[in-house]
Amino acid sequence: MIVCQNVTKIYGYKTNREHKALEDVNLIIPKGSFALLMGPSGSGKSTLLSLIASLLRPTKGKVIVDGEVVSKLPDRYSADFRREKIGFIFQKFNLLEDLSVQENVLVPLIVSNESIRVIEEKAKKAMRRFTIEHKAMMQVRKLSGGEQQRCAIARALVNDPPIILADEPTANLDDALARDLIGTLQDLKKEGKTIVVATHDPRFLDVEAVDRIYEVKEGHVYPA
Amino acid sequence: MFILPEVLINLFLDSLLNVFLFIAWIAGIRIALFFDINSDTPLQYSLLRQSYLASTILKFALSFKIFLLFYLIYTLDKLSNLIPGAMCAAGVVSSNEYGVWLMAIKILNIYLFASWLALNSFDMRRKDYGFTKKKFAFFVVIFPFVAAAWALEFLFFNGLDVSKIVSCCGVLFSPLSNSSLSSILRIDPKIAALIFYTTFVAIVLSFRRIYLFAFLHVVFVLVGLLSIIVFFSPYIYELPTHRCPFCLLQKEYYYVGYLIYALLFLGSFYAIKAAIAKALGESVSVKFALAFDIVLVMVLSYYPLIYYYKNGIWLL
Repeated sequence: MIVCQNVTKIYGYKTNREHKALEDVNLIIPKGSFALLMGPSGSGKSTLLSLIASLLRPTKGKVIVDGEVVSKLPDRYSADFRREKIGFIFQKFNLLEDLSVQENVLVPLIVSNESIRVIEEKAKKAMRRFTIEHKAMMQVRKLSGGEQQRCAIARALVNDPPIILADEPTANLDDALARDLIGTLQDLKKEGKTIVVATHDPRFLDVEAVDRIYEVKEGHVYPA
Repeated sequence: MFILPEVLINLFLDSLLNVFLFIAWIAGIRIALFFDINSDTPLQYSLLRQSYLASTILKFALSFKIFLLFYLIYTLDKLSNLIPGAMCAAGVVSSNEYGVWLMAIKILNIYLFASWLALNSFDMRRKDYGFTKKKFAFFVVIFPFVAAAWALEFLFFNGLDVSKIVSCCGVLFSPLSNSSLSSILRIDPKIAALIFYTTFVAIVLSFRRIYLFAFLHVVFVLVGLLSIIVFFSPYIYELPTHRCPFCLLQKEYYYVGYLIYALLFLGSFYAIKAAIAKALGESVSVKFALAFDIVLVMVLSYYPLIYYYKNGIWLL
């Protein structure tokens, strides 16, 4: 379960470049649900996802994930938290372009204590699932947009995280690829994973699996 | 003041580190006063960030200062070439009224720094910032000692006088001199050796009783210094009349003093760390303390044994 309690995020707090991205956000996303954060660019959706993933700390309030206050985790533990609990799908994929598909998928597993054989097996399984295994040795920069997205999803899910956060995942995809991705997210929900998607793509509104929609507007979050 | 590169390096590095420590001290006061992990206010999040930054600064600066003590001793040893009468760092330290106080506070400080670093390492392992407030409160208390050592260092280097003849270590550490040390130095070397080895055996036997183990290490530092002067140093110098804890830092003796004092410090540090761990309910390990003690005893014992092997007599 993801809980945000009175979360406020102000960039450049107490400087002359103060920008209030979120204000007094209260939110509960139950385990296993598919939640949408809908809103225009700059409304605070990505900031909220970053706070849930413990990539950012709030200025005020707290974020609790599966009973743990992640907004106050020391840095070394927040990295462990992300590795174990969060799969993050970015709008621009954020892949390491000079590395191969397999190497990119292996990145989250490097710091695990598992043997190389187990790690490689996990990577292969993730690549197979998202039908990118045949390009395993190819440099990411040589892939098409859809293939890059599949690689990014394989990397996000290689650790089998219980929570998937996706920030504008369809923004760089054509219609067919976007529907393919939405289908994948629905399948992940069926597996019991919690999915939070920040988007302004209306195609998500037709998705049956979606059970919670929040509107994010000027730093405030309202149930839609 | 002596404008020697080593003196300037000491003063510059100490000053630079103290500027950072002062910044951390200001943050430390705020953290010690207002840090509350249950609070979700902007102040608390600001203190969380500051505690991480201040801990990093302190970890680096205090660790560096431990090494800087050894460099200070090296500098004092080098200055002995310029101070008339001084044969080693001992003569330089006693050349003005600040030297002994400077050394005393510097040695006290490395134990305080090491204790802070131990506390910090326990805090960094925890998710709940359990010792954050404590470690910054401790640093707030330590900082005046840091400032005092810095002031004494300036006064000491500023007070060095090349026109003043000082006593060499042969006089300072002679049991026949009238110094306050001489009464301690009149102790029979056999008794000094006996106390040294007895303390060591007591340490080994007490490893399950952590507080006693740490206390015996504090005793061991004092006993170690005394036995180095009274018993071991004549074997290291191969001179029955030469008793000095500083000459063994010189090139002629292969800088063995640095090894001996580092081992003495590390053994006592890990013992104190074990006591802190026990007090805080953390996992306790004495293996490093015992390992450094054993190596120290082996290194020190090597000298009388090898002397006896070569010459067939003891210097008692």
